[in-house]
Amino acid sequence: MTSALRGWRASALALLRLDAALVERVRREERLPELALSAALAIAIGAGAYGAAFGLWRAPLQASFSALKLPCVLLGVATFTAASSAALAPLLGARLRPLQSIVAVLASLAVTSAILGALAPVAIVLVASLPPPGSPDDAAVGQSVVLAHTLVIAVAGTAGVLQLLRLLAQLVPSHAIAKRVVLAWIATQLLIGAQLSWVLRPFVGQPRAAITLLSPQAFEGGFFEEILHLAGARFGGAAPWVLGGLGVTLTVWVAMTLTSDARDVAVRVWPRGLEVMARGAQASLLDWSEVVAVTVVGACVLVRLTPDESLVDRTLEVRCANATAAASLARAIEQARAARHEGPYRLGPAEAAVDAGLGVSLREAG
Amino acid sequence: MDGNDPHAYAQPWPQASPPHPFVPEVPRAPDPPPFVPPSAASTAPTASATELDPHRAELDSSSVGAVLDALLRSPARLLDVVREGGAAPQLIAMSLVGLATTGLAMSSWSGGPQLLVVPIKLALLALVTALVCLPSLHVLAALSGAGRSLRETAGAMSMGVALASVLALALAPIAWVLSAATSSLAFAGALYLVVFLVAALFGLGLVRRALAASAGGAVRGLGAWSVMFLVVGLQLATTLRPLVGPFDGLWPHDRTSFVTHLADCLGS
Repeated sequence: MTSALRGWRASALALLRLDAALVERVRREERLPELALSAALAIAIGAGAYGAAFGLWRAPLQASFSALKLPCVLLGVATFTAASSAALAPLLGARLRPLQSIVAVLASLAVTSAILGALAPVAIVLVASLPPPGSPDDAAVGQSVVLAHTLVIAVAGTAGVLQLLRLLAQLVPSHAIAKRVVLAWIATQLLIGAQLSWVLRPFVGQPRAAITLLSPQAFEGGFFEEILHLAGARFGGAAPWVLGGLGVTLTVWVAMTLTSDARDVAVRVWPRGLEVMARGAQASLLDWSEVVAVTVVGACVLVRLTPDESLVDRTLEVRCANATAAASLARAIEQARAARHEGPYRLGPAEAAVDAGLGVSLREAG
Repeated sequence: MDGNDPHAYAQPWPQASPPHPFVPEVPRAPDPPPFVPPSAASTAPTASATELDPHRAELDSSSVGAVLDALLRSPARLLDVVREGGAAPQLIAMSLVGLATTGLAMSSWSGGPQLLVVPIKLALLALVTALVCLPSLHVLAALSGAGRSLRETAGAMSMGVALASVLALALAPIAWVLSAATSSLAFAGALYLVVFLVAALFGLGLVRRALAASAGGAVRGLGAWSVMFLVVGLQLATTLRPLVGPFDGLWPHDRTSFVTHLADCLGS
């Protein structure tokens, strides 16, 4: 029992530190269920502690209810988005297995919960010093308490997302793919998190209302339905247009973020292939057999590659200093490709393109 | 190195017979087996290809899990198997299970006979839409040099439908949570419509990529075909209504276009 507890604590701390051994463990899919359990326990303890602080201003009973409900929200988010997280990650370019995706999600929520748990004592002290419910201005105090807690949770959530991004950046081929996956995951988590918070309300409770585990209207309507009603009350007949415009803008932004994959790189032409250097990533050498076609568009060189295992078209967009440099780079690439077909001892023509490797940016389209 | 200065990356061309600097540094992924990208000129895989590639052997077996993994993570590998007529039962099973389970989540909003009817309707909807649109897809693919046989085009289509079904299933818990507490039929309907549109877009993307891999380049006109596919699907969904609302008999009542029906729903 003691060794199990020690093992859990070590795993939870490793999740927070995100050390190299942990990343390697996730990459190799070693003892992932144990890691998932550690993260779940960290969520239960950390979010539970902050949940208690959340409800403490109203009454100790409300604190105990909130200590149960806040971990339920976070674990519910992980549960209801597990399938979509596992399915979306490979579709967006990260070749993660389902359990890897689930552990990554749980790890980010564990980081959020650990921060919340660490801030719980501070929150308890501050809340205990506020005017209690029943005092003349308790409604205003209650609103301030809710606002402050929301801000703290937002900060902790942001830290969790950043940790998730750091973890994924080490597990997937590029930072752009990691950002894409995180965006998709966060979108689904926000949808579920908002609804679950709505169903499990109240967390602080009205100062003069009876203390209950769940609101009597818990299963009537929903968070987004309420938003629709509020928009209808605020904008009247224009509400569908306002919400529609907002939805379209958000959808276009998400779609553009999900599809664009631009990163600054440099390229060098070698007899055996094209070296691609990206900031923060190890240089890789593309074999000439992977290059399908090379075209010059102004100061850009477009290098079309064979599709990868996920059948995604890959196009390298290499931006050069000017059109002459682009033409020179394209010529060097073509000559090196041609030399490859002529045999290993006949590299003569490619040597003419000495200064061609000037490209500084690459875009993988697809 | 400063990314704003293009010359910062300029490197001299290697001199004659340099020791190659990249051979020991090129990252080698430990897991994936050797992969040969599909192309129009690729020949039918031989027995030795199966022997060399253990993942391929898994796909050839009847494991639904292996086919699902390949569908999500390495569809190129699955495409090779599908071209030979393999993995069809697994893909069909995945589509049926995915659509039926999503249908179950949808019908839980109204309950009653819909719990049985909606899953069947959804599976029927996907099957008829795919069958109706398959000939046009095959002609388009043939015009661009892909789809050497109807089986190959049907294989690409079945991969797309299976992926859309799996993704709809993966998104169903989210839609279920969001719709369970609402009393608005329009809200619940719009939610599941979004789920199916997202799933269909990923599925159509896979069809496009699979056919492009066969053709060795993009298949022209596939964007218009995708729009047609969605229109057919939406119209059939309108014909088979109600899919979210309460049970209203087994057979379609009055004929209407999906645009009119959508406007009516939003208006209500």
